[in-house]
Amino acid sequence: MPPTRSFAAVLALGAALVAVPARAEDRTVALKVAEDGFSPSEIEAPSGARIRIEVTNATPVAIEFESFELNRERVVQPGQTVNVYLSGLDAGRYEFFDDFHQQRRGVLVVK
Amino acid sequence: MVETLLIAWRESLEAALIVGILLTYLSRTGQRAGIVYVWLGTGAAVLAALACGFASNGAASRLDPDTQELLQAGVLFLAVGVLTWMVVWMHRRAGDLGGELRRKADAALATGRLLGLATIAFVAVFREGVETVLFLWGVLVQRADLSAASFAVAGLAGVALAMGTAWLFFRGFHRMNLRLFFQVTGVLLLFVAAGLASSGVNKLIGLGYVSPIVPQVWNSSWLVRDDSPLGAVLGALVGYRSRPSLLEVLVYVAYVPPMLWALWRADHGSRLRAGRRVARSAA
Repeated sequence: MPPTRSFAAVLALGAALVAVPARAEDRTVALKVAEDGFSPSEIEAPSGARIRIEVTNATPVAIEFESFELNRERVVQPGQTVNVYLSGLDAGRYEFFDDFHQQRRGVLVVK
Repeated sequence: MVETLLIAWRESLEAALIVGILLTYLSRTGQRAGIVYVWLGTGAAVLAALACGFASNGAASRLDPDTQELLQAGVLFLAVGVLTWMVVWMHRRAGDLGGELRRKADAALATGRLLGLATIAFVAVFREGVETVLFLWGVLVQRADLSAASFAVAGLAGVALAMGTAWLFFRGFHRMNLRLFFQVTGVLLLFVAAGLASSGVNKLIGLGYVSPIVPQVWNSSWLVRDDSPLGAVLGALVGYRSRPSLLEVLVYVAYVPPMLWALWRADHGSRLRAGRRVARSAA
């Protein structure tokens, strides 16, 4: 089989294996970004759960929700809300920050 | 202010490196028409990023933000496809590029390939460009006084520094002999493509459409932090992340070996063709 076709086959097989039913989640956490930082600045979730963080940008300029520890980054336009999904996390503390305004920091505590 | 400069540097580095590879590749093979198209794609992307940045800061943009993110993932996969096609195609011709045949290469780029080059440059620059514009615009809006100007200068200096970094990086490539140069840049471009593919998958995971399988396979942040200069360069070139998920690693691993094989085949084939032609003209 030519490599491009085998690559496509691997992709298709992989997609079938990892597709998630309709973005279902076990826990929703609302997270607001204001001028003075994230609120709340500490959020909690159970370990192993599928978590949806609703990040709302309440400031007049774009922000970027980013976390190296969670391997996520998302630009959020002023006034908008985005969904950031996480799943299967081990217990621990996962820091996140606003990449465009790095004094704004918060932490996700997984128990 | 230093922070503004560093963020702008990091945001524009990937675009600068990808455009840098393309330009170096084309200039070493004497394909001037291709160079023009890379610059056209780059210029169009800068304008589009400025337009998007300003438009979205006014009224909230029309599309739902999660749909926008999904579209971005789609664009990344498209870029992976185009980039793969370009690399394999360039390597099929690599063996033809010695001596006399090299001069003919100038005129030989078909429209589809030129558009392919422009597309890759456009996607690379637009993707990072929008973020850079949004970030710098935010910096300006938040300091509605004279200090805003110095922050804007710091941001633009960061962009210039990214271009300088790319230039330094590729300066060494000009001295390499042509065959080695082809092999190195071809492999490098495949790693860039693999990085783009896994960052597309990272978006799908973040949107909740696919499972990461295991959220963190390893943690190499003790060695190279994502936000260190080396982490930024590696992130731009090979898609480095200190804590990748299993799915991202799998996509990477599924892409790189078959494509290295395809590249090897393309090199081999072009050398055989070139050899046959030499034999024919000698006979």
